[in-house]
Amino acid sequence: MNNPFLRVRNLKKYFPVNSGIFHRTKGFVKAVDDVSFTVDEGETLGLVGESGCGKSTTGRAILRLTPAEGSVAFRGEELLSLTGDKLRRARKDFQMIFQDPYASLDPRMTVRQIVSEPLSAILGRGQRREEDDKVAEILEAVGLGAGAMSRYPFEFSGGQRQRVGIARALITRPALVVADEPVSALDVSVQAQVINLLAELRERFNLTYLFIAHDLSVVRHISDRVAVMYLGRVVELAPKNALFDRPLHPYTHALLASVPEPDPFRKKERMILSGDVPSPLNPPSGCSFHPRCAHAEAICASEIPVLEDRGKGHFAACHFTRA
Amino acid sequence: MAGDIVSINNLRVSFPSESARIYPVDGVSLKILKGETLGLVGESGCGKSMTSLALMGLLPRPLGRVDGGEIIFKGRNLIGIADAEMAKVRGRDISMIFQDPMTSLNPVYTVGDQIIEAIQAHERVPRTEARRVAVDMLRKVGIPSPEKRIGDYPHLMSGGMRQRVMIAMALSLKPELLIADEPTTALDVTIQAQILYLMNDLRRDLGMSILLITHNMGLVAENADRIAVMYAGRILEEAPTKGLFASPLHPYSRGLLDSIPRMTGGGDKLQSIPGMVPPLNDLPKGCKFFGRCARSTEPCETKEPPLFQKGEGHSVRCWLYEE
Repeated sequence: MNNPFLRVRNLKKYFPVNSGIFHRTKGFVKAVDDVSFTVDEGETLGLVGESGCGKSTTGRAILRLTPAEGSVAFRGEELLSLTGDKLRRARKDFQMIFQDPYASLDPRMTVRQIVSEPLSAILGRGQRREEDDKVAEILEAVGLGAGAMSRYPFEFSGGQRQRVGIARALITRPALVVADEPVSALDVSVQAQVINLLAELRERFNLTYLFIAHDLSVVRHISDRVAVMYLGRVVELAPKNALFDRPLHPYTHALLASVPEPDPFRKKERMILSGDVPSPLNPPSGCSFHPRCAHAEAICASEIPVLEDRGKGHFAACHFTRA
Repeated sequence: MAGDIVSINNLRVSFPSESARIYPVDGVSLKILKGETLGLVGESGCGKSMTSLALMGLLPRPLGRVDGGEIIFKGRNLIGIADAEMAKVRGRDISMIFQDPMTSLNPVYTVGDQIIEAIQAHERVPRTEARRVAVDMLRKVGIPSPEKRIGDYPHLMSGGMRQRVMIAMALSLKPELLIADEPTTALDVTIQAQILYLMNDLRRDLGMSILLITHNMGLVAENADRIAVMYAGRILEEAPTKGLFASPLHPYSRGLLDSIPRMTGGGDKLQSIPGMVPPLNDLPKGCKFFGRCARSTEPCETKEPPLFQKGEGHSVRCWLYEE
């Protein structure tokens, strides 16, 4: 088999928990625990889950924004072991779009400075004229226009700021973009504009997205395949229609049933999960979903289920459900 | 009229700004019937929260003030009544759940103390009796072993648990009207489903009315009997839930509904509303949606439309529906 575009294998990120006056490590929060998946070129993989499930940490670990164990191979090249100049050059190919368009832009920089920063940081100082042309071009592409260059972030609305963030991510012409909740801070009417823009840019620049979000309807709209995370692990991964129409994992099932649908005529199945998401500091034994699962049996408390292909690329980690 | 628990007539709320006063709520009229849930939807800054704060007599002073209109609660106008009187209404007759359960509880008191204090502020009952009511309410909202958790400080609880405590506190006095301002926005979807299920249950048991304020069309579709759509301080459309979703009349309501990605479909380009919500100090002169509306005609620019009645309980503020 030839190298997939992005292959994540056994990715782990444990945060030590220290306490006491000597700051002895008392335990670990397993934010990302043995996560594996691949993403094909041009594909959009949605990564969903509730807060604290490790979806953002997974995205950050892939981009080397936080150190992690395991393997992340990008076009066959291992990213986690890259250092120095090699890492800096590789960064040109993978960029990130952040959630909060208010916090992720420096208020004292002009849009030109913000958007051109990755160019000089990664490629070194270029000709100013050349840089300006590139900035103008990408600002046109995100629908802001070159006129925005000399303005400051405060002059823009939330949706426009997110466009600045997108321009900054795309200026180096990356191949992979990790978008971490890119539309969740935006109002509904503006959210649709930005989702459409992301879809349009994907075609235009042949981008591959890892799209991290908690809003399932947004994820269904933009993704080709979707991975569901729960307490640091991927519990289900499938082509989107299979996942949304025929979920295999009981957690995915409950998650989908919980989303309020903007359709008062549709009677849907009520499925209310009891209890909260357990603390990742002290996750339940075996399948970490078992205390909240209606189908749990003895084996679920003792053995961690393996993420297995149940046919047609529909993966699920559960001892009981079968496709 | 019989059946109303509260009737808001022509409410205006103003705040000072650099030049002139601005009106986040400008001529809002709403009725909430006994036992019903009214959904108030709109994007950020549309005035929905200010409407609810005015209803609670909690506008930030000294800046915000009611500049006109009346709020008739059970036959009595709440505008202009003495603070001490309003304090009695608040909590006992009208209660509110705020968006953020993390900041709405006092961190230095146990949750039990806070609920007991609320009860004793309104009813002359001994502490043991207030405590019994509090434990009972905590059990009702689904907090496991409430006798023990009543002694916990807020920081020991998860977001979902804290929101339940807020609800228990709001309901411990059996108010006739519950204002829920984005009650689940800070929570995960599986917890959101639990909380709404609980609120509906209690509404049925206690026969109270709910004003559900949210930007989430799915939430109102599943929980509201009627919906009012707010934009730039005005009600643009009001209708029974099914009527609004089946035939949204105002171009803004239609745009809002078209711009949300659906769980059932996906893939196609989303319809979006062009532009953004105008700032309150620079509103269009006529219809406030002018400039973003694809169907605007000549009078829209200069003359603000009144509400036109279109069928049973369905009204719309748009010149397209002038008879």
